[in-house]
Amino acid sequence: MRYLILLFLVALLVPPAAPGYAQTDIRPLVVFVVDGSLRTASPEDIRAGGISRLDEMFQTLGARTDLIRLDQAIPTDAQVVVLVQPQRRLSAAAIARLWVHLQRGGHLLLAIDPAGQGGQSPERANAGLALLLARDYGIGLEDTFVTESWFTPDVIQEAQTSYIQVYADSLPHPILDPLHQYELPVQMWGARSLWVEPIGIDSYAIPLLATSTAYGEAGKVFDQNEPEPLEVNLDVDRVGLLNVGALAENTATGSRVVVLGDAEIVENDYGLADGPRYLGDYLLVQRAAAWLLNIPEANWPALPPEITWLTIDGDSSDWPADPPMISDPMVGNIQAFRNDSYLYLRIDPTEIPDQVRLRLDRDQDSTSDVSILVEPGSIRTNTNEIISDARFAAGASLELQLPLRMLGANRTTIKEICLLGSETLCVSHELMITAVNERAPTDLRMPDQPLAAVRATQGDVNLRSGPGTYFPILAAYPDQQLFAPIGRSERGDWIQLRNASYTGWMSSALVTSNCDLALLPVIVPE
Amino acid sequence: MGQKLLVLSLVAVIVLFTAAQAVSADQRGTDNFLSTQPSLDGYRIYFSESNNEASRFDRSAAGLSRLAGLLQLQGAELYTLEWRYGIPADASLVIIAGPVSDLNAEQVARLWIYLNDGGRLLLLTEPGIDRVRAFAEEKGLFELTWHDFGIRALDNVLVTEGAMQMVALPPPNTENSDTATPAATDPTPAPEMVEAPILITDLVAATIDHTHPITSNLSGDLAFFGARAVEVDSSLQLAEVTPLVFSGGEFYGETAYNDYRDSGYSTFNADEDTARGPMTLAAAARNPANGMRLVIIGDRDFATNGGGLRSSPPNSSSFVYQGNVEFLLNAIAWLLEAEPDAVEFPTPAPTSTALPTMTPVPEGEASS
Repeated sequence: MRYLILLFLVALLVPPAAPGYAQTDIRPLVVFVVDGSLRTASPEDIRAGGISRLDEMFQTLGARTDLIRLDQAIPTDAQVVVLVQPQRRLSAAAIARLWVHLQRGGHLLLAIDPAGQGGQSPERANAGLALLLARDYGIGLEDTFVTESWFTPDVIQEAQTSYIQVYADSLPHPILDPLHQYELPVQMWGARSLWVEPIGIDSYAIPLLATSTAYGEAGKVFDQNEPEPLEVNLDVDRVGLLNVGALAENTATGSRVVVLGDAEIVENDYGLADGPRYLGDYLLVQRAAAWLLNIPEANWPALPPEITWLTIDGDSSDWPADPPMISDPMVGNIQAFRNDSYLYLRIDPTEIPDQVRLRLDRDQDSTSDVSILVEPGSIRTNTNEIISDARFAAGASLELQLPLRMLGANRTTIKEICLLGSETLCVSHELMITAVNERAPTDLRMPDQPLAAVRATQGDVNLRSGPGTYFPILAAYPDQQLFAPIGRSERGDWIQLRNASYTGWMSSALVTSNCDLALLPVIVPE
Repeated sequence: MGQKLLVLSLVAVIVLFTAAQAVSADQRGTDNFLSTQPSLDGYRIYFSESNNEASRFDRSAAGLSRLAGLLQLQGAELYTLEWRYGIPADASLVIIAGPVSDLNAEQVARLWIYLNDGGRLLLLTEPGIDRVRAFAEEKGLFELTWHDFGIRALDNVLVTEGAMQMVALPPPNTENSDTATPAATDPTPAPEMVEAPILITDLVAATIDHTHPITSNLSGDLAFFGARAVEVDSSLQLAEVTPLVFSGGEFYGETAYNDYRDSGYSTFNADEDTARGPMTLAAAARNPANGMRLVIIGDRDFATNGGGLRSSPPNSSSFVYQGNVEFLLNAIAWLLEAEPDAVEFPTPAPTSTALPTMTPVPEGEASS
């Protein structure tokens, strides 16, 4: 008995083994290259150009993250190396360490800016990292600056003013699914083009992002002393469809790489701005990160809620139950609702028409003042104004997405809906539009046009119905809100802007643009 | 089968030459080292030739054909490395014999992947004399090997002072001075003549660590012909690094040898040059964790036909520096972990008749 008591006392003195001490962290490890000599963007930086949000995104996807330098061996348990905005070329030793990581099946997210802008001199096309990427993965960096025809020498000096909108390339890939499905633009801030060779030995590559409106300027346009002019030189510049993002997989090693021809796309107040402000950027980066983490596609994060995720494809299976359909004996079943930017109209017709005609009472004087004629491939007003950011598809259902600005001040009713075919069938009464508390995936879908962004240093900026502070306020917008600039006042102190919701005016002092605003046509308000 | 035929053919040729010549018993004995070497049957050895390395096809003094021939006699299969496709998975060994230009970033990356996967590398690295611009001590491959394995070659040339000579003292460097530029009409001052030593770069290793398999059975001197020092840091735990061969204590590492070549004048610079003392000329490293093995020799000519593998008489197989041959074959056997076996090669004897050369013969002599 005495021994039992002794044993009991000894047992009390021995500290209990803490559970989990010997457990290893099985979360995938993502390492960010933070190297002063390369001037890379840092996940510890919460400022505009930092990538703390990218770090959070990886962690939300279940990864643990750490920082590394490339003068040290990359940890063998690192699954993804993130290299964002290297502003200097990697040394041969740094590239070798990176390639050892890839050779053993590791993955890489590389977001790299063009040379020249902001004094950067990152990797060039024919050396080091670029050669290896090209040979082993079929993705090549090009020494170009993606330039829209409306860019000016002043515009290209800063990332903040050299933004472009690009779209998902046509090849399918799960990363691109929502971008394809909802035609989401991806915003970039000063990009370089890539070449992508899809088929190669032990590898395949897929272009992710492309633009057909810009060209790849290869001249020394950033030279401080004698900058070359911004003009297409067919001998050296890249023209045609430009890729600005790509992914590749080495089928022998399982290694995956994602290369983005712009660093800002993954930075805090740019592509990953709060909201998310740039939904296309956010989804692209989030899904690319999930792909690099080898997360099964079924487990990828759902699309953000409170956004109207509707595909305009003639198949109404994804339309919500609310608001309910309205039955009309002549036309069929109709559903109409609006979010912050668009009217969504669905008609399950009794007879497939050739055209749909809407009559709208924009100024709420009880008489229709504009007609919109809708048919596949063409949506225009009775004055032949093409509505480029509207979409229509005819299938089992007729589906229309129409920018709210076309409805004018009256956003609650459609005066008349008619189906034009062998006979004209009209809804016999005004149709109510139900407002839903949702955002459109994008409120600006106007490719082939310059862009302008709100420059708000104190609070929101008013958009007015005319060029002066005495005009009524249509809406107020925060910093960086995007518009298409379409005209200016005669003195140039007011700029006419357009998005899906409004056409209005904003003081030119509160707008930045990727074009020369002085070249916009003068518009005299009605 | 083809390999055996090749060996037999070579043996037959060598025997014919041998029978036709008078051979001293002593020389025959010293040439018998091959019989102790392991068979390299089935080993695939890749030679890099993309950066002006010494070539295995080059039979001139600058070439590596003798080393290549010896390896082939042992049964090794020799290939030229195609860097663009990376180092093949079946490569048993890579030999980089003194490139003139440096490996590019892609090549460094491919080589580093190979070593990290347990690759084997014999690296002969030349000092940066004349147009040689390869393997700086703090960049590229040596940045990696130094950091991870504790081995690299330094940016110097091992020299010691020889006889004195009179040379013109180089003008002082006025690039950053505040002195006014002499007027064009000023007469150019005559250079000051001073007595300065001739720097000797050829050397025979003074000390050899005989405890390593590469150097345990060397029977001759190891000759170097302008070498750079190899630096080792054995404190790193990732690799086991062994310095193998050392210079005499009278040598120091001259870092401005090209200036000496231009002017004939040089003095020991305590701030820049490597301090006088025995310095490593060759070293071996291995990583037990992944099987990587590496041998670095600080002199390309250690293995060239006209350097460490020169013969006397010329164009014979009677090597002047038998130690160099033994060292190289031992090093390759160690790198390959090739075990000695019973295979023996009849050893060629020296010939007094030179093999055909491209040297033009005067017409009068040709007819006799």
